[in-house]
Amino acid sequence: MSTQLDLALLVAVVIGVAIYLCLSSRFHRVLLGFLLLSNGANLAVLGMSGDPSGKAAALVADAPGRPPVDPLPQALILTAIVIGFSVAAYFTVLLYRIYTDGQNATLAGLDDPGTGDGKERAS
Amino acid sequence: MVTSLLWVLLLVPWLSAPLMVLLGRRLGPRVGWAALLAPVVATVSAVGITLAPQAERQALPAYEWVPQLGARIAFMPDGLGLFFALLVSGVGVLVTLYAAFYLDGSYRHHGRFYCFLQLFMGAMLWTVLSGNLLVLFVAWELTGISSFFLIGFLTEKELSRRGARMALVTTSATGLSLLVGVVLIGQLYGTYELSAIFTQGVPPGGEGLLTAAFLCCFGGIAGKSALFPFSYWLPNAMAAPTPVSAYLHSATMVKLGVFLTARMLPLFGDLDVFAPVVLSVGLFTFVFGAGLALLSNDLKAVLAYTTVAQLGALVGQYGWSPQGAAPFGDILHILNHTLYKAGLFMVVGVIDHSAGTRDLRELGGLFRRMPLTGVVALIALAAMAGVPLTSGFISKELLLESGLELFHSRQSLLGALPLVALLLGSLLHVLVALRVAKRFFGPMPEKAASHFHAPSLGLQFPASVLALGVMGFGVVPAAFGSATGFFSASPEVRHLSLWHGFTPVLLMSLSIFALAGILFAVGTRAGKAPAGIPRWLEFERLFERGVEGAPVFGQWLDRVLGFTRPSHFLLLIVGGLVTALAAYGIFAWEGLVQRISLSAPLPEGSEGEPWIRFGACLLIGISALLAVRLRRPIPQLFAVSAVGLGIAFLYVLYRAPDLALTQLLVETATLLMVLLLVIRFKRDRASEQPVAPVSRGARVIRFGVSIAAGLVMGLGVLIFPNPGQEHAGTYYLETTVPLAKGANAVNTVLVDYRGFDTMFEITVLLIAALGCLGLLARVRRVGKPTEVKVSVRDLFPVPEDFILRSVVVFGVFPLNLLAAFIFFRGHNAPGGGFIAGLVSALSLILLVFVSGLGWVRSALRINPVTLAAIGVGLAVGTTLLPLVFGLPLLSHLYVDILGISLGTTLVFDLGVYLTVVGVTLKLIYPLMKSVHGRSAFAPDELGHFYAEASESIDELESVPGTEVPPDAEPSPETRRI
Amino acid sequence: MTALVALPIFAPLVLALVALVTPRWRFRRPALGVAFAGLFGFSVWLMLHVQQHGPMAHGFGGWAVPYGIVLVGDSLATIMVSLSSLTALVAVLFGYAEQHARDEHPLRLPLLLLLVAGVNHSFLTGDLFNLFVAFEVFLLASYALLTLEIGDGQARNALPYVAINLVGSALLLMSCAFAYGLFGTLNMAEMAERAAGMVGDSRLDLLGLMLMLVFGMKAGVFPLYYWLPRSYPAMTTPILAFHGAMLTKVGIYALARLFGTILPGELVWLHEVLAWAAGLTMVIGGLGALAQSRIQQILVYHVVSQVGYLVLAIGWFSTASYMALIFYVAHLVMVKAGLLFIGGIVRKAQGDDLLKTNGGLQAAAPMLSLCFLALALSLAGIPPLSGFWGKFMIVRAGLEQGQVTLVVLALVASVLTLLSMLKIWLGAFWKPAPEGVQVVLDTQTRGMTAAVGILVALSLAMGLGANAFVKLAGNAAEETFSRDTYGDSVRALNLVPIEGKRP
Repeated sequence: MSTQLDLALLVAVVIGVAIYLCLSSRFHRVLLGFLLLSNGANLAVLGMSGDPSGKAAALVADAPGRPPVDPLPQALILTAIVIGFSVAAYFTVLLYRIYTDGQNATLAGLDDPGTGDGKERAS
Repeated sequence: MVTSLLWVLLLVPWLSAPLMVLLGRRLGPRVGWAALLAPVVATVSAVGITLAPQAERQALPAYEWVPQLGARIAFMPDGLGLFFALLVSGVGVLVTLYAAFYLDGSYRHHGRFYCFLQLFMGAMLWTVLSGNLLVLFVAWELTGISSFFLIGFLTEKELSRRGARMALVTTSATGLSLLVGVVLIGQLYGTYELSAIFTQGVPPGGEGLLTAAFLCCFGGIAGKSALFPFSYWLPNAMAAPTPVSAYLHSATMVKLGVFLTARMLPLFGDLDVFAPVVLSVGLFTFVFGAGLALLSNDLKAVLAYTTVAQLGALVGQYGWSPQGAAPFGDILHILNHTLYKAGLFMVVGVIDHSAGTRDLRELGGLFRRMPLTGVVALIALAAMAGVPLTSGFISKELLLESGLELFHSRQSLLGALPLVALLLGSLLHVLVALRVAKRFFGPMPEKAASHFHAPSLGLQFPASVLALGVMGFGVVPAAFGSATGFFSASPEVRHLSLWHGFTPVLLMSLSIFALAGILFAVGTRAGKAPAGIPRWLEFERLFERGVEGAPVFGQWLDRVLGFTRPSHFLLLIVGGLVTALAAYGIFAWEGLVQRISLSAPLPEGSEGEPWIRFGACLLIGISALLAVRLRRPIPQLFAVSAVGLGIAFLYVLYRAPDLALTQLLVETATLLMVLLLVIRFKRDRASEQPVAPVSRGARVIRFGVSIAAGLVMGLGVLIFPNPGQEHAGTYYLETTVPLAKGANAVNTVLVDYRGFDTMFEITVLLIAALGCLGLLARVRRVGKPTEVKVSVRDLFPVPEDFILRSVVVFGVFPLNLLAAFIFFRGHNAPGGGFIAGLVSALSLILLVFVSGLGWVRSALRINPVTLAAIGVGLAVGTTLLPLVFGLPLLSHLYVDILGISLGTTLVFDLGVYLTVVGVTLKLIYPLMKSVHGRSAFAPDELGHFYAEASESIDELESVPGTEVPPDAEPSPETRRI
Repeated sequence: MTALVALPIFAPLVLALVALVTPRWRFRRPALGVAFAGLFGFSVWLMLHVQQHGPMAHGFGGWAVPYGIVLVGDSLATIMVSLSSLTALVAVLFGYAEQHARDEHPLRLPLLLLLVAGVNHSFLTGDLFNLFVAFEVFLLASYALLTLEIGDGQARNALPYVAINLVGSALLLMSCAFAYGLFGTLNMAEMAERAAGMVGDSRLDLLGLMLMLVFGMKAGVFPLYYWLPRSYPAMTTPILAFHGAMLTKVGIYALARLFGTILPGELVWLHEVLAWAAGLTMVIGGLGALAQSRIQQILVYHVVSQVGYLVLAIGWFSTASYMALIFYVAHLVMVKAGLLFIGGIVRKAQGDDLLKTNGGLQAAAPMLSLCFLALALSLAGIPPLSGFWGKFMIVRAGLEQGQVTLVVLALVASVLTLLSMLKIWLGAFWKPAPEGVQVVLDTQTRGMTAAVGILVALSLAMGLGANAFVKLAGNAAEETFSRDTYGDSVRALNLVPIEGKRP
């Protein structure tokens, strides 16, 4: 099992872009940033399954001649994708709710004091 | 006998304390008489123990408390301990008696008062009698706490609250230093048993540690006994009712420092630092306190500062102890001070009570108005000044004597200073005494006169008892000496008499009196009262400033750390993470780089496919960078999903068909959701809202952080694969067919080897759906919701196109067939419950687009969340089922039907399928409606998910019917609803 | 039999599903209350059982170690499980007292159950990736609870919490992947064995650093604690109490596990870093708490300072310090939860918990004042309450290693604690109530106080009867430090033959 430069570079780019977007102050950019971040993380997991060149899928009986790839990272990614999807869904709705509460789709709305102390709450 | 007496002595106060509260409810002020019982019993038993033969006091049982930490209930009723026990209980009787008269109906919560008082008494007794250092510390701290409540007893007064806080914080802060000292001793000797510590000598090489321990302990002593520089808290503690001042702040608690010094004398006595530290701090406090006493005008403050001074002397006297043995007369001094100072405090209480003021400048002619108290006060003052025929005289003579001895013994500055300090201090004491005494004669200012009413006899009685003591011991010094000598650990025995002829000491005290007389005369001639204590000597200011300043500092810190601006939180956190990782990456660069093992770019048998991969990576990278460059939200969104789809293709190249399918479908679903949000933003022009201008520096930091993050993770991908290591994957590949009954290793890992992950993964899906429900509906304030019919057009601008409709409607069926197919082949070929679920869900969503929500919901009949719950339930059920057959959780069972082996894996996968369908629908429907300004839930759902009706979280609902035109700025009052 | 170790995970999960589909059931409340009590009882039994018979491990699907997922209930894990069950029980009872059944949000109990399931799961799992999944479960549940009953304009307080945990999850996922790449396994016991052979390989250090950062973030260590004080106060009291008391402790547990079980003891520099970060956390957290003006905010911000204490004990990395850690965690969970509950009661009794507008509670509500005193003094480490023993053990452990500076920092932090507790006591209890503000006490507040009473009683018992708890903590610490106990109990699974799967 050995590793590949292309994937490493791709991970670097995707995660870099993701973090950059996350640090933006517009809601939709932050959201997209986190979507990319989970994708980048999945790619990093993929990197652990090694160079697929000349290998078979992790299906026994599929091309018996060639060694199959490590199935575990794929399984991990599947789980991670699902969890990422759930989190993305929640995060989208959260941003939407914050927006409808404050009519403000930027992080600037977070700074003004009040309500931060949880003074008034749903009764 | 002694043991039982000890238990009585130690437990009676604590047992009677809670009763006081109960009785106080009924009796009111008269509860004081009931409170007398405990201290009397305590005194009696203390006397009993004292009279018991020495041998019986030696052999006492000990009880384990927390053996692993060395906490043991052991007793040490030696002379010192017993003396203090007698002092505490005896004075306790008098003070309680005094309080019974003092705390009349004008006070409240009498029960509480006596409760605290007796809690304190109990704590004191435990402290002085404990034979285990740790337990001693525990009790020591308890005295501080109970005194906190006594000082702050008059809670409505700002002053007493502050005083209580000051006392508690000071004593427990210094108490921490004592704790450190105790722990150090424990480390040095391996035990906290005092007897064991005293018997075994200093372990070799332990001097350094012991010195440290001594210094820490002395910190505690100085705090408790209000020595310099902690002297500030005692005067402020005078906000307490006078009985408390008389008891805690003159007689007992503040003497704990003296007690501990004496207690630890065998341990610390022969350290080199001991004498200098104790002498200098003690005697400096002696002078310092006396000086401040002379300067202050509040009678209570005067007494407080003289107490501080006396405590200094009492601690300091141990400085000239000959090699760890107690000096002669140590107990004598303590007793003397207790007698006259407690008496004086009680007198002050009487004066305050009847004259209504404690300010020296407003007092006068008290003697005529209350002769008994006058006599008592004069006796006590005489003792303070050290006038012959009072115990104070004996005490002062002895002090001067030992000071002189010290001077002779070492002809040095260190030898001379104590003597000078003693002389100066006594001189000041005389002056203070004169100043106070003067107030008992002459005319009484009318302010006091107007208020004056004669004190009751009972109120004056306890002080008189103490005064008698002062006189008695003063007249019969021999008795004084032997009585105190009995308790003292000092080996030296001396016969005290009134008259030892013309000794230098006598000359000294005579000259002191003379000088004091002259000075006082001059002072009165000048005829102006001291201006009070200069600000720079009021350390309480510093303390208060510190206490008040800490929060301000905290706020400043918050600001500096950016906590007050949560819009920066992410940058700060990510920055912190990345910096740490990058720092290590740079630090260990060589070690990390040598792990990189690159394969040949084109391994044989790869048919040049790496080139395709490079191409794919390149495209994905470009679209990722596009996502940054593009400004407008929707293109940006499509760039991001392009990345997702590209990754799906990359998965294909990585021999991961399941991943590719899943990624494809998940990307689609995500795209849908985010599209809903972005469309809404677009409609309100929210995506063009102005943002705070970002400074150049911030942008640079942001760049750096992102790049560093990318690089670190990329490096991780390069270095972490470890070819040498045996990986679990190989095992799965070998055993998937024989053991997991499935050819698709990825799927078997998901449902079998690591099925537990999957089970919780779908739980996560369910929880996410529930969370969205919570977000999409806010508890309604008024009335029932008005369900607005959502027509198809509102959801999406779908043209009323017959062909589209029919295509979709007829497309749904084959789509679900496909889903079933994917589902069933999943175990042996790419596919499985999750993918199938997404397919079905997406088909239904398509259906919603064309034929409306209401129709689909009625057609579906079952609530999506129930569906999802059932799905998770199936998975959980499959996990638990094997227990019935005595197999481990999640071991799948198989049955052969017509040659095909069907397993519970299918049921498990079915659970996954149902959950996915349910959750996806539950996520998309309400979001669709809500985004278009409708209430997210239909009434039937409300009944199901909301105790109260919920309303749309969207202000568009607030004015039903009226659509806000897309380009309208949201008006200010709709901003905050 | 060993499947019992999974009960603290599955029972809440199943109950949650049941509660989800029966929002209108008349006996919903009593049934769930009993269930919570039963869960607590069972976890205590499990804890004691493990104390006697050693760790209890269970392998899913009967797969050979290290290929399947295992649950391991050793002393440390079971102690944490009992604590979480206890907090959940009290939180539920408190909630019952606070609200009528008809006012209660029907999703609250299901989500709380899911939260408990996730928390217990992360204590019990013996598999790194499974730990990631467990974290996601309880994180999503806590997001959901955080935003379930929020009022207008409070949703934004959840944003820092959610966003930062998203970053954390991504980092944790990648760490899991890297761990698999490096060790070829995700099983903690196996990892520990393979890692022991890799000392000196800087990849091990990097991985350790990554995991330390992730868990430190979950625990709220400086400088990663920003999310905590800002996000918590938006919650309703029972939820807030559970979060403040338990959720940071999951991170603490993960750190203790990481250093105590997985990573070899040779990574001293990581311990040092951790200890110093902890020192800063204590003091900064203490100062920040002092700066707040509301009871709940003081308490929540104070969680940070206490986290510092715990992490400090981990960083000192000795049996003594771990003993202190475990004892202190138990003490802290009870006391902190209790105090947060009391803050909620004050808010209910006086309409607000802004100290300026509070006052007169000692006169009006003596029982409440007693409860607060017991807890606050215990938190400040006043003997002989439980906090003192924890503080004492930590000081002792530190001085044994000659860590003078850090010990001094710890003591400074405890003085700050005392100050902030005094701030509350003087401001809300001693100070006479300002005009127009009265204390409203009704059956509800009395019921809530009674619920708090449970915690008060336990913490008092922990202080006066410290012996039993100290013994417990001591055993757990020794067990954690003799790394074999954990590994052996997992490998022992392979000795039980199951046809085909285990030879």
